[in-house]
Amino acid sequence: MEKKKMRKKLTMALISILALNLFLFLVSAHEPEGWDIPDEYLQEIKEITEQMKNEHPKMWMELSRRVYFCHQISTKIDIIMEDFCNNLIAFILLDPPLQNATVIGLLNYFILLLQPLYGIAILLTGMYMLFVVGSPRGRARAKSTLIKLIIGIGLITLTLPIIQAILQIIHSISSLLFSFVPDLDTNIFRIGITFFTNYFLTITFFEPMVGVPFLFISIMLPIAVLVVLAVRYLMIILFTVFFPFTVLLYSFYPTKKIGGVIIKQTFLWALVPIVESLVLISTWITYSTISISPVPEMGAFIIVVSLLLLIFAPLVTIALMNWIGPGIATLLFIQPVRRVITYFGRTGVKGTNREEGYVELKSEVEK
Amino acid sequence: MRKNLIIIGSIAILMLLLTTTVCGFFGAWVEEAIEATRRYVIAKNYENLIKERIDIFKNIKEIILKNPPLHISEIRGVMNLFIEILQPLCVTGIIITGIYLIFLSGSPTGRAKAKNAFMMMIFAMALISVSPYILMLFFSFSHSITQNILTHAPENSEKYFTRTSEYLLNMAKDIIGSDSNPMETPMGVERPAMPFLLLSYLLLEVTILILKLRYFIVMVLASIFPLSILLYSFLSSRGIGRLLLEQTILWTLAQVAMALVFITVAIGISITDVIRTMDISDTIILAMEIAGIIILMFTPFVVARSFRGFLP
Repeated sequence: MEKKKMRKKLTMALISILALNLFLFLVSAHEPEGWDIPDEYLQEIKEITEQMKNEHPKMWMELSRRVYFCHQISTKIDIIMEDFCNNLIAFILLDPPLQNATVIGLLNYFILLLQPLYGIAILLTGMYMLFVVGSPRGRARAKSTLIKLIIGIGLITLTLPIIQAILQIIHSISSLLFSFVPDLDTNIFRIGITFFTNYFLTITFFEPMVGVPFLFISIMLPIAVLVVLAVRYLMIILFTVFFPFTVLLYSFYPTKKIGGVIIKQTFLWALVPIVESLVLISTWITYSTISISPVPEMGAFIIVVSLLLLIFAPLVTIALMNWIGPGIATLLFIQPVRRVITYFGRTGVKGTNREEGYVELKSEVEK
Repeated sequence: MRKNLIIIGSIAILMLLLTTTVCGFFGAWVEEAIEATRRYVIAKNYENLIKERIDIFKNIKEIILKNPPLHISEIRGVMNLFIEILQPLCVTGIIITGIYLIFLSGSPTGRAKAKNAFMMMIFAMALISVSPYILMLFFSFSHSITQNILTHAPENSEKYFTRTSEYLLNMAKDIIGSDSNPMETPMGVERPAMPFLLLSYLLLEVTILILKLRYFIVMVLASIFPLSILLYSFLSSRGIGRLLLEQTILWTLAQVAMALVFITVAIGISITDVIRTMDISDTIILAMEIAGIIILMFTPFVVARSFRGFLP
């Protein structure tokens, strides 16, 4: 019974299409008698039938192709967004496993490589102090370099504990920040991306190429956020492995500036999770408070801005927080060195001019 | 019989009516098949191009390790030319400074300066004469450190840099609809796939080009190395000399930095691959691979830019 009904419906549909086709073709071929169709309308009917004859099948092909394309791409965007939303917080908090045997092996190799360099640096500074009679300023500088080099040797063996302590502190701060908003839902990011995806899907039905920028935004925004976090993840490993060199570069006077830059970068890249968690929390707070907005797309705009902030905030922070690297470097190196020099000066060790060394180091600290 | 005739007649009339539409569909199908073949050929060409780059990328360690051969006649010729020009200049400079020191009694500051310049010129003269050997020594030093660093790389570490391109290529192939026989998969759009194909190709090509660029920059800087030494030895031209010498050292040592970045990225992703059982998804690994190739791309420029200013 059902089949018969179906067949009947199909037959009716086919007959209607055929009747419409027949009507249009007949009218365009020969105007029926008694029908007083104006010439311009007749001409239009003729053009339509001609176009139908040529384009109609192509149009259906093209439409089905675009539907397929949209379906395929929206599936991919959905997968990316799912991964993004499920892993964002975990990825922000993810610290590289520095205790891994490969990383430790590489670090030990660099320490091994550095030992002769440290030897050369200490020898050169010692020779300068012994044989080249420089200015008092130069002597003080050489003296501080020598002590820094000796402290550096001890410090490079503590590379892993130092970096891990820093990462742990930053991880704790970020976790603490996230704990203030226990109901934070990263699925809100879907709203922003859906905003662009909808534009892309709508436009693609008219012209696929015009929709491509929206497609790129839909894919690139979440990927770029993850790439920034991935860069941070890899940079932490890189700077950890490079830390012994950083200490050497910072200890040796001619390369002190370069060492300072690398120390600064190490700390700034480690700080990225705090910045990202702050951006995420502010997004959530803003989004949850703005739900009664007169503009329906306001939520989507906030999310898009938040995604842009997640991409650019770490980069801006690295540029803005230049002061923190030298600050930490001062805490790490200058203060202990100053104490050591003051101690030796006080105990009257020969060749240690306390006043000069102190003034020199004070000016360095101020710098 | 009559019934059969009615059926045949009806079919004939239907066929007559449908002729135009059927012809249209057939024509469209043929056109579509031609289009699909064209798309297939384009995708295949791009795929070959990208596969070629991936093959080149498999030898990335050798490319990173490569330094210009200073023993070949062309580079040596340029260096010798500079040495031949600069040696008489140095000698003239030494003679003039010597005359100034012996015969013209200037101010104590002038004398001290002249003495300093005299020493520097003698030193520069000696260095210029042996500059090819200094460079050779420096290149071999840099080469051996790089080689040592690269030995720490995990197995098949090149794949972490090529997987992004493969992913993008597959995405483009899906869009273009060229996975199998074009006659079977006519669905697919050509133009929206182009940015993905281009990106996939450029990621590899730009990295290879940057590696080659480093090689050529080192070659040029090595050719003018004697001139750099001479410029550095004169007080008035020390700024340019310092810049050239520093750049020579930094662009040569960029290979060490690239090797370091290469193994760091490989180790970073391989470690993450191991701990993937928790939350790490494919998209995050993809992001890491993109980040890795971007870091590798910018490394020589960052080294040449950030590590400046170490020479007195």
